[in-house]
Amino acid sequence: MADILLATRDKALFSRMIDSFESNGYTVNTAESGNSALSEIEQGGYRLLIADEELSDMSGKTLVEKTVAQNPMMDCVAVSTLSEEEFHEAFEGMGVLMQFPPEPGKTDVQKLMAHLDKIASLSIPQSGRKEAAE
Amino acid sequence: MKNGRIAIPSNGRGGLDGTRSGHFGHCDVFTFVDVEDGDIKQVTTLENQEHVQGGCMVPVNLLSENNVDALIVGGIGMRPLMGFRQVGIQVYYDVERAEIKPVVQDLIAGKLPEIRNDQVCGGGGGQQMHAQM
Repeated sequence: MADILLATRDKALFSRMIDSFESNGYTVNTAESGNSALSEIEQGGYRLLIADEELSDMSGKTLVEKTVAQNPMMDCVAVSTLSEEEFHEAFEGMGVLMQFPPEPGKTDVQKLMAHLDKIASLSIPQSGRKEAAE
Repeated sequence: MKNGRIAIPSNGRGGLDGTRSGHFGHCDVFTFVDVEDGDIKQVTTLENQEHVQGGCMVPVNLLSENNVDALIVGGIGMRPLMGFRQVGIQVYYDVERAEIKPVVQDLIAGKLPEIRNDQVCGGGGGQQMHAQM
């Protein structure tokens, strides 16, 4: 089972990104439409969705919205040409990990890995974290 | 709500006489109110975790691990809302009042509504008390 699902019409644009993930021990599957991506996700086994900006049947944003509603535990990255501010506004509330450029590469993967490590460190129950009585 | 633990994202040190945080994911502490037979039995607080982009499931897991049954928000994003529902935490909504005590009393009395999907932050959602993840 793959770790990462890439939804795109043009896999070639993501070849450097896929190589980088694979060199880090991850496997990447590709879905060519939003609906096929949603079917794949429903079957389970993926940790991360990377959604291209436009798909044949829906936008990447719509795919992220549907994914979050269907499986909120799944992390998402969205490919987007929006400015940082526009991206924040457009994807507010969806809990997207990061914005990727249209042709992501090794640096983007490294940033994502570091970000996921940070979140994982916060998710570990911390000894000494105790409730305080009022 | 007759029995269970209510969590309220809070400013500063929190507590029943404190104020609610409009930024759910960025709140300083969570105030926990334990209810038995419709009465408040205990009030405690728990420090929030650091907030990072996309880390919406961190507070979901934190509150789930601390046996929270209900959460009162002034705003929340779709992803954490779905996450809370998935772990069995009911999410209630009050966008008007900044104080903790009256919204807790209303929830215990059954007067506080659950948040609807069209009230989430972002994506053309409804009004909010500034907040989102």
